[in-house]
Amino acid sequence: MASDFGNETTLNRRQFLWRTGALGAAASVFLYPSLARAAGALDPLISGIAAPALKMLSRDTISGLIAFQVPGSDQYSRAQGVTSPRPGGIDAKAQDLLMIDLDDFLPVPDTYAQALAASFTTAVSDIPIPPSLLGELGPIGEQLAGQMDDALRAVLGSDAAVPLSLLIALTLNFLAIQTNPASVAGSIPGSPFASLSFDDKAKAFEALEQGDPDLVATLDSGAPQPLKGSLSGLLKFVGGALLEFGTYTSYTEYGVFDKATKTATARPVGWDLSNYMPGRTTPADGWDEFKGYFEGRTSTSTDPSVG
Amino acid sequence: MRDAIVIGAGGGGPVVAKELAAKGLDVLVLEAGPWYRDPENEWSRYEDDANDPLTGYFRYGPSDRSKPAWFRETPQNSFLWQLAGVGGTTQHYYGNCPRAQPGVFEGYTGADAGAFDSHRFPFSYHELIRYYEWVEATLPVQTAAMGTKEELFFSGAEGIGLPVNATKDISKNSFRPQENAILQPQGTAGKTNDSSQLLYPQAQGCTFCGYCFQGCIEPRHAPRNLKAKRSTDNSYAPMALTADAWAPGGKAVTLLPDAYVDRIIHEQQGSKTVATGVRWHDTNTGEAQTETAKVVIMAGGCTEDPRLWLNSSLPDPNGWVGRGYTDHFFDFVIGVFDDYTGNSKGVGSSARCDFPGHGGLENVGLPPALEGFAMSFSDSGIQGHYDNGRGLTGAWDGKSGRVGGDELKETLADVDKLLNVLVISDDDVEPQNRVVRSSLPGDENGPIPKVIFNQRGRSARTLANREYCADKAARLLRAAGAAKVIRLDWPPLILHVQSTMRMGSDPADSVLDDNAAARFVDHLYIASNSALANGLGGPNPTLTAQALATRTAEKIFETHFGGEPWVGVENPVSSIDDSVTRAVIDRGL
Repeated sequence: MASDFGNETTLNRRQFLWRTGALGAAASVFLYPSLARAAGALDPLISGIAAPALKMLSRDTISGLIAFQVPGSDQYSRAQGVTSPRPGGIDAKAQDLLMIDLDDFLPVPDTYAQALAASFTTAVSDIPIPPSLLGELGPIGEQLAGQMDDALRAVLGSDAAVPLSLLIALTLNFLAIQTNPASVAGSIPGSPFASLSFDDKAKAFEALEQGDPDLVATLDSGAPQPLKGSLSGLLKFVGGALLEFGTYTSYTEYGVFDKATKTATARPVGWDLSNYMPGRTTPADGWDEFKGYFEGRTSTSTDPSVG
Repeated sequence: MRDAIVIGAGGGGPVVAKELAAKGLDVLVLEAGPWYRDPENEWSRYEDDANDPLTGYFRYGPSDRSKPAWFRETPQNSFLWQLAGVGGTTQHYYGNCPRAQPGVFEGYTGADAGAFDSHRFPFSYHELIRYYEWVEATLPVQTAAMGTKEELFFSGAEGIGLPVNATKDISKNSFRPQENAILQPQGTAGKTNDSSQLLYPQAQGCTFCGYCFQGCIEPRHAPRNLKAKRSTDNSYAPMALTADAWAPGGKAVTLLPDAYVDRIIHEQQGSKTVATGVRWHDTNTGEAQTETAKVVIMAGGCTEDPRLWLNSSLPDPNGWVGRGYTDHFFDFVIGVFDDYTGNSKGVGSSARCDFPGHGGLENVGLPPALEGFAMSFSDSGIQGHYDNGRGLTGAWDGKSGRVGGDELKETLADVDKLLNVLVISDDDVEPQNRVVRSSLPGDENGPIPKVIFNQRGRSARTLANREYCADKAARLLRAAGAAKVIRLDWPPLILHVQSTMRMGSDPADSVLDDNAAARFVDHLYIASNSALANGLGGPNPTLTAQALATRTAEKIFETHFGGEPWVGVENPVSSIDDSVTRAVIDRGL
């Protein structure tokens, strides 16, 4: 019985790696010939495949979010089936800014991020993923599955800080596969979420904002005590913040800003998209916009009835 | 030992510091964030560089921008917009200075008295008038100039039948230009796009640059106290630092930035708890220091004041420390126009409507990234996809909700063809909206705060007021000529903040007495927005917090230093007075 139980746990954990996109991303990295020979031993797998795979997973998923908010003609916009002839958030490098903000400047305690990320690798799935999809990667997938399971668990279960962008990516990909299981083998192999259609991305966010019970249960399994019972509220906050800052970052100057000179080196994408100060790359010192005073009145005083 | 220690140099701290310094007291001001001494070169005014809440120069975090921001837990869809640094949130405010609704004060007998929150100020509106007038003369507060967006707003207000209010006080439904702490344009200001023509003294006052939220540096080359916007880093802080120069017998304050106060030191004297000083640490070096004082004044704001109180293990016998958070339960309604609106230019907001017993409206000009943020902030999901059980309908087009994807790009295709109206609800003091200490691990400054708002469970009066004002906003935009009107249904944007350490006449539901003195700790006062008794009925809170801080300074001077009141007796010195300007220039401020 013990053996059977262990096999079942391993299988479910592997399903979860699929469902969060981690295994798909790992397979993509594995396909690079220079890394292929790393297979077979745990440490090279971690440094050569698992860690880069998780970074790709994060980046592709955040890029899918940016394209959702401000689509352009990039691969992430094409993958969702909603594109725009004008540049989008990806062209503004909003995905880079959002990842930096999340990973380097949002001080969520490391122990909490680790615990929540690890919950994705240990929770039990009850969402069927068709065997035909699990078999999409063929022999490479079969070869990877067992090895990557250990490698990814090692990364997520280590004492090293888990980047917040990875935690966000695991969450969005969990919801993506729940929304549409076929996204596990979608057009952006590093991210089920980024592989969703625009409408399905909206459904995934609906589930996030409404505290999807499966997601809450999954996170709750690994959540430290203070977070247990309050994850629903936390997810509402995260869902809102991702959408707000997905847009905000797309319209800022970040992609062309030179920190040394504190000036933009070119017109920010968002300035062109919004027709903001046509022709300028720097903030203005003022505008010919003064229209006088309403009814010509330049001052008021206390109402005699209250003074 | 100091006479007084002020914790926080935001909207209220520099006010109480300046007033006490003018009376010759020895005042130490401790500010956790940076002190920007050369904003013309330090503030780029680009939106991400300025306003990114995690990395921008206007964030809630240490002055070393390579370090992470300070994390606050908000367990609901919401956004808490705090700022550290000398000036606090006045660094990014729009300078709006309306007086409170008279109906939120004790003794109000108007016919609509029953329409207001029952948690009143423990004194009359009439009593606060002289403090309003003192602050209005000091900042100074003036009648706002118009740009195109204000002309449009006024045409919409007239179109829905509102009369004009030509006084400083609110007595009926009406509209008006803002009374604001923005120096009126003089010389070339507001009359040219040419930067070379906009240097001080050729240009004076507001140049209509459109960067209130990224920090006011205009006109360039103006002395710090003559910058157009009267944020406290440009007004009260320079006065506090030069009090010996412009006030007979005055004594300049000591202002320490990067000084995070993590404990109010107190001792038991018989049955009384008495504040005796503070402990703080340098955010760069971590070095801890203590200082004693006769009086300690908290001025960290609505989230930080209760946090510091609780982290200091001060008594909270009635459980009201941190409770009663009011935020005007904002909403946002956007009008899309066929023609130019001037949305991104000029003072952020120079027009308003007031609805006694309900709240108010004001126009809000925004540059593109903040406009995008505003369009993506909602408790009603994404328009056309899901509505989170809300999707409100009314005088606006379609259901409330975020604008996303193609529709967002289309709506934001020309930021200067939009007109935004902020819905400002007269919201009730409710105990469940509050600050507690988070169970998450603390940071280097101690346990962090958790800010809780139950937006959907707010009082029936608050929710009805929000709908009343949102309806007015949509109708105003249509009357102004909007081709399309979008309602966002914002979750809490915690930006106008009030009343978490509220003063009140009832000891059962207030932390402060009618002098803004702590009920449960002697020699301890509060002079930030957290001391306000309620949400003021909707008007922007800074002016009232500053008027109250002025009154509190008088009470401190009378109670602890044997002094006499001066407001209404002496003439106030303006922060743009030549005596202040000379001292600012002489001392390199």
